[in-house]
Amino acid sequence: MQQIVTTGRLISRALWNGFTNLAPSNSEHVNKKREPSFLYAVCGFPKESSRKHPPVKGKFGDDAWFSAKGKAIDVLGVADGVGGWRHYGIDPGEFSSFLMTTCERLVSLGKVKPNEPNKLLAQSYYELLENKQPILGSSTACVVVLNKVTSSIYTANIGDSGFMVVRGGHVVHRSEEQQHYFNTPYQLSVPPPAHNGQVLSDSPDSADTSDFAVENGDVILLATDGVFDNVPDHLLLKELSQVEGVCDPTKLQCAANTIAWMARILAFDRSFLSPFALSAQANGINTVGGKPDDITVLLATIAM
Amino acid sequence: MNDEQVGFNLADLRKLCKSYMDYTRTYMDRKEVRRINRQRSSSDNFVFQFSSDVVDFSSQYGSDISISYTASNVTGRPSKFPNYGDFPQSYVMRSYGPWRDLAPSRKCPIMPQNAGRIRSEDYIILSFTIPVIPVVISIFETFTPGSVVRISGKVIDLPETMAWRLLWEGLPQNCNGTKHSRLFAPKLNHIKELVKEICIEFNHSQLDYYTELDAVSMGGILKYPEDGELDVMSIPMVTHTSSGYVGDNDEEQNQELLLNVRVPSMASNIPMSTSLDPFMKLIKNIEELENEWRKVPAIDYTLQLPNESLMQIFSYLDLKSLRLCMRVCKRFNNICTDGYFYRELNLKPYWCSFSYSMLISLEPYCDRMTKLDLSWCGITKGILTIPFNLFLKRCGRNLTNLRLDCCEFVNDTTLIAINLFCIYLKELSLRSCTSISFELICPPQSLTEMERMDFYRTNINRDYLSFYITDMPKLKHINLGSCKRIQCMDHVAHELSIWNKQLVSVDFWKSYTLSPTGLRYLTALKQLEEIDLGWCLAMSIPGDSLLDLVKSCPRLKKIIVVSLRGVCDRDLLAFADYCPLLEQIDLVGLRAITVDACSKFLQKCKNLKLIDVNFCENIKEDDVNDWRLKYPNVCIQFTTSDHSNVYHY
Repeated sequence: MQQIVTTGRLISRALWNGFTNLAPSNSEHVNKKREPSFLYAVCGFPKESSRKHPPVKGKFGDDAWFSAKGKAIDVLGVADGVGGWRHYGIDPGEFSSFLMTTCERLVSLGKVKPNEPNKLLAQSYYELLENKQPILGSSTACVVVLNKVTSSIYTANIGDSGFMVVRGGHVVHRSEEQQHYFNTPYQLSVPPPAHNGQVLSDSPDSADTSDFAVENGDVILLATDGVFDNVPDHLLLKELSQVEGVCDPTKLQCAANTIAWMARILAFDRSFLSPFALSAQANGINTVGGKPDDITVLLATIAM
Repeated sequence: MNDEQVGFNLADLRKLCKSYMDYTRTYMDRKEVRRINRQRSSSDNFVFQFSSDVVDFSSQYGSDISISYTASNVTGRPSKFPNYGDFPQSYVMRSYGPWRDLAPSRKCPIMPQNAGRIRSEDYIILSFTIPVIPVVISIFETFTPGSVVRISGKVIDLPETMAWRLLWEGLPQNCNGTKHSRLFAPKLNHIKELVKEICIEFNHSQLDYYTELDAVSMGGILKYPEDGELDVMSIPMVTHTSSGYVGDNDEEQNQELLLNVRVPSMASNIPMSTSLDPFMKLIKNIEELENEWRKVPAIDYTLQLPNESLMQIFSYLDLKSLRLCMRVCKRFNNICTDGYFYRELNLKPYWCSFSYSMLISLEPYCDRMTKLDLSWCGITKGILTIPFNLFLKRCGRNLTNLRLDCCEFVNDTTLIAINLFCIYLKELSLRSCTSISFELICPPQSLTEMERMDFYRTNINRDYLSFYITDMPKLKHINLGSCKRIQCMDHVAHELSIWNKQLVSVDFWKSYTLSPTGLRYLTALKQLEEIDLGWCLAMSIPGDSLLDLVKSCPRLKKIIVVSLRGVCDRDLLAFADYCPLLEQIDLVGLRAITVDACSKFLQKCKNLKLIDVNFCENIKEDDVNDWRLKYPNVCIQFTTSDHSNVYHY
């Protein structure tokens, strides 16, 4: 019974988050010019939902996300704060959240060039150092910038969050996972001064970048490792191909909810041979089951 | 498209009006509010907009490449208001309170009598999308409000030197102690011209801490009514009184805060008898006085004074009064045109009408001029580079102090002119002179007398700086804050340590390339009294370099180590042990500093006047309160705003 109540709350919270985050202003662009824009929906779950921390916009546990509109660009991004910092008394969510809100500010202040998503990440990272209050921790990050003029997306990815672009039932473009070794992704970090040198810290320049021409109806999934580690590609693809070309925000939201919910269930399924477990086995660790983690799903379609 | 770019549609205006009401918790009756709203929305003449762009500013806390604490944050809608606190999303300037004037690097004022009652220290010029006749300008202040002293508007389609109109001025408001953000909307002077850019001037001397600005809005009308008087009934002027504190619970202050609907027709409703009585009385008094004066034989008492005494008296006059005295009589004219009064010339207070002709009209008396302050005089673009260079050639030979802060007309050729003609220069201030590229090859240096150079926020590069500092053995103060083009600050530090042994103060604010190696070079500067290492991010792990520095510089009075996250207790205690004269220390954002070390530090530093421990995670409010009781002579900066929600929108 307890579980049902919790589940109910999670679902309603997911729906609430999703609906409040819908991008409503896209429709006006659709017919005027053949200018692409993102129509997106968000859904996610924190790993441990507690009543102490009420849901904050842009955050699911240690995950954070943002969406912003700049001059001729639409930008989406996710970041996953590295949980290990909790042992040092540092809130890992603060780092990722700051990274994302700063990206959002940079975009809306017009400081971002469409073809330089890695600069956006780098600038956001250096902004951390410009803050009076030291924000410590580390985070993976992935941003997707849609250039409305050239109809292409420019992406930057650091670590094991990622994106995939689906067209005609196939994955046409996706990010590569960046790992130092198993379960240790590349990460942007600001360690406490005493721990400098002992902590993995990748420069924002090490981000993978790509550009890809998009078409009307393409589906882009931007998610943290909580999704990619738990949901096998074929299941993701099945869901994503159903929303190709969908302009109805409700349908899109449903699909986002489904993916997030699927990831949530599989994460707590102890017998499921998840992508994470497969990867662990490949690294000589014999394990099965999902990987409980914060889950963030940003599902976007390209509307021209 | 952003709302702030297209002005406001009526629905937004209504929404905003409503939110204003909420902020101020106005006690005005609702009917009145509804009336204003109705009238406003019925007039398409009214435009409300947020500033869209920053045209110019004199200083900022953040660096040019960043978006934290920088001027661009003041554009657009407020992002934090009405929250109160120290937010990186706001615009912050570089100084507050009296501390800069108490530091070893303080500058002597030039022609202080000229600054007037209301002196300004910083300015920002903002532009708006739609030119309007300003009716209400609101400044959203989110932290330690109260430093706005002047607002002027630039009328469109006029020559720049004649375009600036004073909209409001007043003394800095003492809001210290109020822990609330403030919506500052003073009553503006009436002008009938369209304004697109406004300049806001600040005076920080009364502030307890850095002031922070979130946004600036301007509401105004597009067209002045043709039937002469501004009909206030059709365009309701919602103004806040200038002393309005937002969110204060004090009933009395809230009375002042009421949104006043000013109706000029009210004046005619006042009964004649009551309004005229005091007036008649006054006229009578004046007549009586005049009659009395007539009985006294007309004697010019000034005739009995020797010229020297008159000169002494006139020396207290500002430039404007001096010019007026010139017209009184021949004798006055003779005295007032004496070069004695023009040895020091400060035209900064007159920036809004500064032009070349102003300078030329002063030139005949300037043969003995030693100090010249033309800061901010480039705003009006009233002077071109070459005429100014020629002016330097004619009047610059005796100059010892030259301040050209924020002057756009100063470029590389001006630097050459200064090198050639102002050979006795002791002080050169080029703060925020961004149009100098420092790429022209420097002529052989002759500025050997130089004691103070200020390059804050300029494009100076390493090679150019080398030219300067290697030839200035008497250099005492140098400011290299936010000089983003200097690629290797370590090298500069090395040269300073070799060539400028007399150095008293050095400012490396936001120098990202200064490393502990560079700092070690500075240990050769035994005279050092002030060092600013704020935000030198490459210094964040200082190791022993700070320790070495304080050991060899016992005269240090002011140390700024903001955000050098690696500074620890050991460094702090070393400051106390080796720098007995220490007066000001800035420790903002140092995570590692503990309460114990800080207590010991306070105990040991007998001369301490200012310590800033904001954002030091280990220091709690109770400790600070204890210290404040124990050391009443020390100003301990610590704000207990709720930082936990700073990053969330």
